[in-house]
This record gives sequence, structure tokens and C-alpha cells, in this order.
Amino acid sequence: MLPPQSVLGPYTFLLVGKAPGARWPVVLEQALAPLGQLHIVPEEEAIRAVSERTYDVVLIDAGAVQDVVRLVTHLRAQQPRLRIVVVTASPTWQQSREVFRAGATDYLRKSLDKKKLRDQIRAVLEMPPSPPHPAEQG
Amino acid sequence: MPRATILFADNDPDFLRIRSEFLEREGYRVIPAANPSEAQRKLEGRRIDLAILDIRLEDDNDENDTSGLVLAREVARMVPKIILTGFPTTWAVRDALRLQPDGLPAAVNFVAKEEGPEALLQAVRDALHFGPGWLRNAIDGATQRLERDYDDARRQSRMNYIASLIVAGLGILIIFVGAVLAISGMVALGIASAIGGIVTEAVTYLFFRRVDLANARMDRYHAEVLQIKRFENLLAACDDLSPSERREACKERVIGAATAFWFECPGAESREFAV
Repeated sequence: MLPPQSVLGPYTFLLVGKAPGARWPVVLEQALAPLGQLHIVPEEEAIRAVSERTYDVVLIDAGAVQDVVRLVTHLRAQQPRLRIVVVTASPTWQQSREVFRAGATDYLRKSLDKKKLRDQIRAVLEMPPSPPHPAEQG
Repeated sequence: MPRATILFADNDPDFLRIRSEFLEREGYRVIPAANPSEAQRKLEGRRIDLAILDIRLEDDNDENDTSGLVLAREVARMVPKIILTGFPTTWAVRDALRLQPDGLPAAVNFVAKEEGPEALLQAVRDALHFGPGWLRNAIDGATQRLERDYDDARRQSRMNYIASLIVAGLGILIIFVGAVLAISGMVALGIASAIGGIVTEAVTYLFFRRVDLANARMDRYHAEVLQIKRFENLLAACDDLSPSERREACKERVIGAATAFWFECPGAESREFAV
């Protein structure tokens, strides 16, 4: 069962990082259209965007940001209940460990299959918001 | 300070012996387990501060063997676990560290065997330093979030109630104005005004009934979830007891009290059960 936002109105999603001419953000936007609205910002505007409004899910394109672990850590510190999904075309187990330890909610391989993408994000919406990682609790 | 007890489960006897000796030299008490059932028995049967679980606990050559991950997800949820594997993959990390429906991850860390003993030792130190407190904090955090949601729902309910009262008052005023107009000779206007007032009252009543029912449902839902969280907290507190007989007796008592409370007391969701 999805959280109550599905009844009250559409979800809002934020994609951080957009490589020039990239096709995937367009596919993602189309995939998420039935669920809500997708906003896209470059890495340097991510912190400000998250502080200005509430997003249901923030997706980070690992290939389009400088330091994905640092960005996840910052976003998690700013919004402890935020659902953060790191998406990458070339997943590695080391990177997935680091982003989960930094507070990511999920780590997904990029897909051009819109239904698969939508199902993955639906699953994220059903997950509990992340508790802070041990390291953040001192 | 007493030595921390670590359950170490791996189906490779040589690796298990070498790493256990290494951890014992570092000052930990290590309880070895060679297969999933032995690991489960030991996890449930005694006080364990940390569990290190190999993913393929049954067959190293079977890539579908995720028995260590299954143990981490399903057994002794309050014991922090480190997943250790000779076959690290992105999706194994995801299964280990992603939050489960209860709001806790299956494991607190993931280490590849190829990273060596020092990486494992660092993970053990981190997990023991943060482990049980973190799990407890996660449950407390969930309870606090629920209580905040509950307070928000109550606040909204009060606002709706006040809005209903204001509109009801307005309806009475319109009826009163209608009566005054009718007495003053403006009969048609007075009747129209009175009918308007009565319709306002009726709509307000229907709205009030709907809000009231929705609030009652919300109250019941939150109260039930809070009871479940309290139940989890009590069980978690039992996990801190030793020896195992005391722990099991405590759990039995909590489960017995909760069962009696939930299934035998009418309207139980509105009160707290006592152990």
C-alpha cells in the first residue's frame, strides 16, 4: 500500500544531475508521469532544492554528480526522513555499500524500461523512511 | 568491561577457525557456527552482541544460496549483523543494507572476504559501538514519528471541529435572521433565509459526522500501531536480559500479556497493555 499522498495528490520527485543530451532523464520523466511530477536540478542546486520544498523521492544520477556519497550524506543530514535513491548505469558493490552507509534508501541500475522504473520507484515509496545511520548518531 | 560475544557463521571450517582466532586475539568471545540451523539455534539460544554471517552458508558453489541473508533478515532482529562474503555483488549489498518493512536493515555492514581481517575488525568495532543502541534508536524514532503523526491528526481534527462549530453557529444565525425578517413582515425573505440556515445546519451536521468517523478511524489506527511499537520495545528490552532463560521468560510474559490484551479486552486499542 502506498503512503497517503497517492490519495491526496501526485507525488513530487527530484532528479539530481543531468548530463547534457542525456536520454535517461526523459525516460524517467515519462515513467514517473502517472505517479507525479519530476523536477530536475544540477548537483550544485540539489541542497537548495531540497531545503525549499518537500520531495517524496530524490533520485541521484551517480554518473552525473561529482561525489555521490557526499551528496547523499548532505541530503540525509538535511532531511532525515527523505527517500534517496541512487541510480547508476554501472553499479559496483563497493559504491552501493558506501551509499547505503551514507543513508541512501535504495540503489538501482538505470533502466530504459519505463514500467520497471515506475515499479522500482513505487517500491521505494512503500519503504519506510530511512533512520539515520549509526555514524550520524554519535 | 565484559568481552563482547560474536556469533561467527561460515561453512568453510578453515576460514571460520582462522578468523575466529583472529577476533579472539583482539579480545572478543567468538561462538562459531557451521551452518544456518546451528547459527539460528545459537542466535536464539543465548545472548549474542553481534553476528557475522557468511551469505552462502550451505553451499559455496550455489549462487542461489542466500541462507546467511535470510538469517540476517528473519532471526534475532535486535542483534546487529555483519554480512561477510567471498562473492560480493551489488544486489547482495542491497539485500543486506536496504531497510526492511520493519524499518531496520537486515545487517549493519557488509564486508567482502577479500578485504581482509582488518576490514572485518573495523566493521566489528563499528557495529559493537553503534549496534544495539542504533537498533533501539530506530525503534524509538519510529515510535516518535508515529506520535508526531498522531498529534498532527488530532490537531487537524480540532481544526475541523472548530470549523464545524463556526458554520453551525452561522446556520443558527441565518435561521434567527430569517425569523426576525418574517416577524417584521418580510415573510418570503424570512422563510428563504430560514431554509438557507436549515440547509447550512444539515450540511454541517453531515460534514461533522464524516469528520468524526474519519477521526475515530484514525485514532484507532494510530493507537493500534503505537501498541505494536510498544510491544516491539518490550521485546527488545527482553533481549538485553541474561541468561537466556530469563530472556525467554520475559518474552513469553510480554507475548502472553499482549495476546490477552489484544484478543480478550474489548476496546483494547484505546488503552495500554501492562506486563
